[in-house]
Amino acid sequence: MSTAIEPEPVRPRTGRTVNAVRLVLGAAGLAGIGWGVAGTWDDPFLTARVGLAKWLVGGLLLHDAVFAVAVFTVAALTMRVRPGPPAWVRRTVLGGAAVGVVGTLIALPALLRPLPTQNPSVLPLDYARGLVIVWAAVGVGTAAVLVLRGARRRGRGGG
Amino acid sequence: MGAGGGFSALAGHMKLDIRLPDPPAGLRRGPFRAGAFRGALHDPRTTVLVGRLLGLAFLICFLTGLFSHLLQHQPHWLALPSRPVWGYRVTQGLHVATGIAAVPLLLVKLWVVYPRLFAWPPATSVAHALERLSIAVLMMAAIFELVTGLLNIVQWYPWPFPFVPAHYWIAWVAAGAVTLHVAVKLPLILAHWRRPQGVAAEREGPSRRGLLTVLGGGVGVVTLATVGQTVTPLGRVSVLAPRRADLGPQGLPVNRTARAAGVLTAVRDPQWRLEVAGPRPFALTRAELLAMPQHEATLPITCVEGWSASAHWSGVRIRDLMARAGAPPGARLRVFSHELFSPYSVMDMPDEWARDSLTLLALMLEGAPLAEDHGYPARIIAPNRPGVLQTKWVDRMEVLG
Repeated sequence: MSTAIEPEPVRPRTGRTVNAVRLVLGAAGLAGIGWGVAGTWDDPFLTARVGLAKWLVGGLLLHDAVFAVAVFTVAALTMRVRPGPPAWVRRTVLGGAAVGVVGTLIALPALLRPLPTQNPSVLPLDYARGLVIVWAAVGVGTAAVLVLRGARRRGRGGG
Repeated sequence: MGAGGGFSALAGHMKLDIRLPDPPAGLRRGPFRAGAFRGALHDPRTTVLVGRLLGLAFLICFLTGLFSHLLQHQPHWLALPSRPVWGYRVTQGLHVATGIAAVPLLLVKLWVVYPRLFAWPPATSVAHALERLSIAVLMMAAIFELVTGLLNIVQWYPWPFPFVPAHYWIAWVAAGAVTLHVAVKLPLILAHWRRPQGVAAEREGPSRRGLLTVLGGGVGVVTLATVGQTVTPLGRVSVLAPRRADLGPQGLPVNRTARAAGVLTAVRDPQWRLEVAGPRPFALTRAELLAMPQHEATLPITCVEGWSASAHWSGVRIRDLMARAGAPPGARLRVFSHELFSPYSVMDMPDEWARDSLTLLALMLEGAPLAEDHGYPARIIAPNRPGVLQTKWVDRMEVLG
C-alpha cells in the first residue's frame, strides 16, 4: 500500500527571493485576516457574535470530526473487507461514490430547506428526482471507468 | 514538513521561535500513531496539484465577490462602467459557479492533508503552533463561505446573522488566511510545482491520476448540475439548480415577490403616479408614461444569488425622464421603491447608468405589462448591474446634482 511515488524527497526551495516574497505575502495575509476580523467586529449588523462563532467553529468540527472520520472509515473498511473484488475495482467504486457524495452535498440545501418558499420561482424543480439522476449518471460513469480500466489491465496481461 | 517550510523556518530567521517540549510518547495513540494513514496520496506533490486549483477558485470567488460588493456599495470616487451589458452576468455567474466547484476542490484538498491533523508532536514550537492555528482559521473561513453561499442561493437563512455582511467580512479572513498559507508553504509549493523527473507514470496502487479523475468528476458533476441557472442553454441539464431561467411569472424568475415585499396595496392603487423631483418636478400616471417615446432593450436580470436570465423590456429611458426634470449633465438619480424595510428600497444610480441609453424605467416585459412580481407598475432595468439594484415598484425618483 505505501508505495512511495516520489523516488527521492524533494527539498523545500528557499533563498533570499523566496523569503522576501514570503514576507510580503505573509504580511498581506495577516492584514487581510485583520481587516476581516475588524470588519466583522465593527459591523453594526453583525451583533450575533456567538451565533457567528458557532457557525465558524461548527463547520470546522463537522468536517474534521464527523465528515472526514466517516470518509476515512468507509474507505478503510471498503479496502480491507475479505473476500471481495480486487483493490483497483474497490478504489474505482470509492472514487465514484465520492463524486456521488459531493453531488449530494450540493443538493442538500435544496432538499432540506423548509418548504414552501414564499416565491414559486425559488427551487422550482423536483430535487429528489435530480439527485437520483445525478447518482445514475455517476453510476454509469463509474461502470464505464471500470470497463476501461479492466480492458487496459487485460491488455497489459495484468489480470 | 511542518518545520521544513513552515512558520518555524520563517520565524527562525527573526529569532522569534520558542521550542515546545515534546509531549509524553504514551499519548501517541489512535490516528496519531506513525503509519496510521497509509495511502500514498497524502503527499506534498498531490497537495500542490489540488491546492493550486483551489487557490485559483478562491481567487476568482474573492475578486468577483469584491466586484459585486463594489457595485452594490459604490464609493463616490470610483466610476464603474455600465457596459458590457453582460458584465455582471458573467462575473456573478462565475462567482457562484466557482464557489460550487470549490466544494469538491476543498474536500479533496482536505482529504489529502487530513493525516497532517494528527502530526506528532502536535506542535514543535510556538511558531509551529501559530501556523497550525492559522490553518484552523483558514478552514473555518473557507467552510463558512461555501456553506453560507450554498444556503443563500436557495434563500435559506437558518442562522442568527445577516448573510451579506457575514459572507463579505469572512471572505476577507479567508483571502488573508489563504495568502498567509501560501507564504508559509511557499518553499514546498515551489519544490513540488512541477512533476519530479524520472518518475514512472503508472504504478500499482492509488494513482494521482485516479485522484484527479475523481476530482474532475466531482467538479464536472456539481457544475453541470447547477450552472444552467445562468448558462441558460444548460437549463434542463442542471437538475439541481435552485432556479431555472424560464420558470417564473412571464417566463422569468423572481427574487422577491410583490406579496413578500408588502407592496400589493400600493401598486394596485389606481391613483399611482411616478413622482420625479428635480429642478422641474413632475408626476405622471402609467398611461402618461406609456404615451412618452418608448424604447426597447434586451437585458439580463442577474441576481447576486447566481442565476440570470435575459428578457425583452420596454419603457421610458431614464435619461429622457431626467432631461424632463431639468437634470444638469452628470446628475445622479435616487430611486425610491414602494417596498419597505429592505436595504434595497432606496437605490442610487450613478451618472454612468443614468445617461446610458439602455437604462429604462420599464413598463412592459416581453410585450405585456409587467407582472406585479416583476415590479408593476414600473421598474428600473439597467445594463451590467446586480438584480437588487434593478429597483421594482418604483414610487418616486429624485435628481441629485
